[in-house]
Amino acid sequence: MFLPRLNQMKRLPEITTGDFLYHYYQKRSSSFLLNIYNAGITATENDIHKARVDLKKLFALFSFFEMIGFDLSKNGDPQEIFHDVYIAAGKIREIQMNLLYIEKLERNDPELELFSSYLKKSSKKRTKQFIQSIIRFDEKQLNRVRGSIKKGCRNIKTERIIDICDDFFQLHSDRIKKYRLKTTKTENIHKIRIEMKKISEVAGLLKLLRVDEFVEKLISALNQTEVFIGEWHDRVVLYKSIDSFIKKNEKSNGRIFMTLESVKKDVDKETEDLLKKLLPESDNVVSIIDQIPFLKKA
Amino acid sequence: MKKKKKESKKKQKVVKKLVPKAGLALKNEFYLDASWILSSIIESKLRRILTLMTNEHPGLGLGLQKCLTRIRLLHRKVAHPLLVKHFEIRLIDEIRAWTNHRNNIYRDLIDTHISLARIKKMAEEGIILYQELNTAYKNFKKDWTKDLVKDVSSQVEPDEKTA
Repeated sequence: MFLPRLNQMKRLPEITTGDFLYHYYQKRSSSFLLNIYNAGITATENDIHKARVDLKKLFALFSFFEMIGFDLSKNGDPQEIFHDVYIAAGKIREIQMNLLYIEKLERNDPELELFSSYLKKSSKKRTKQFIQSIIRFDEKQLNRVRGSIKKGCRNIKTERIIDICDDFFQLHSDRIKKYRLKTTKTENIHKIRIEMKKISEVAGLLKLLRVDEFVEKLISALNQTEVFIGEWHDRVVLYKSIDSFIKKNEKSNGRIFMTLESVKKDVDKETEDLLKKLLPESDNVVSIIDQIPFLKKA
Repeated sequence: MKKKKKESKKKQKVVKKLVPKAGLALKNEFYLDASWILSSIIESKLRRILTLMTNEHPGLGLGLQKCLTRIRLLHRKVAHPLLVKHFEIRLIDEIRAWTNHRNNIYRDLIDTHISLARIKKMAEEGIILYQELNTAYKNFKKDWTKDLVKDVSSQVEPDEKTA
């Protein structure tokens, strides 16, 4: 009874891998735009964090697309479009994380109050800068990048993406190894963090294309490491902020900050503890990448 | 009953939708539109506070100015300790001054040329006021729900003891 009708119905066009890849990118970029508009008004830590997460994911996708061979830098580096927004949002986020840490201490100390009022004041200033960066943000350039991604996605196949994922993971895991061999300086750990974020985003994309136990294992290891690195980064930023606040006030007022000095010491200790935890975790990620079967093409 | 649920959901979504729209207006330098949207967001926030305080919806007839006057009155009467704790009189007065300033600009627009810098400044001030109100509202809501939980648990405990 219903069969002839079913035959008459138009079949929906099949979704190709290229379409999927393009829509994946579109979803990320539109989510970024929505979050940035939200953050421009609310400036809440949640909205700013979401916008920054989307940006980091977009950066990872850009480097992945460039590896596939898309011509994204025809009109300049695509990451440059977001530079001002990213920096301004990052500064507000850092202030918010510092404030959160101070609030969590739950201490009624005049020094801490002075420090948090200083942070709130600079947050207002940074919010104005953030709004300016949103106004300056050029959506037309983003549209140009979107156009070249759309062009590149036309004839791409799943196998090619998996192959590139293979190269991508290998390249970035090699970089992690390189940074790991160097001294455990803040800069190196920060670079490891950036590489991890890139691997994490592309692993998320790969998971949608192919269900693989190794990819899932990699993602869970990455999540765990990213939590530690995130916390470590927050402590490093707080340490620097307290340090600069103390130095600034000591120079101008000659005041001595006992409580803030003790908080600084605690933060430094926490940073060292977190570093001890995160280094083996990052090694674990590298070893998982080495184990993934399809990565051994030889 | 079902209709009521849908309505409340819609109302919540309206505020969520308005925020990115204000952001979009700001991004494209439509400062007047941004300030207009901002004032309606502020108004809805104030209405929510009044609903929590008085236990009844103030109605759509109550505009931004009236909402501010009523909240100020409740603040003076110390209608609720949390209201006094989280919403400073200064903030309420600043929002009031901002709306007056905005109204003056709208009125002046008919007769004279208003510089873009002045309108931009007005929109930026509105954003900062909204942010302050938003954080105050969030802290207020947090404490409000804490109090509610406390009240409920204190009501349950004696019943359990008697059982």
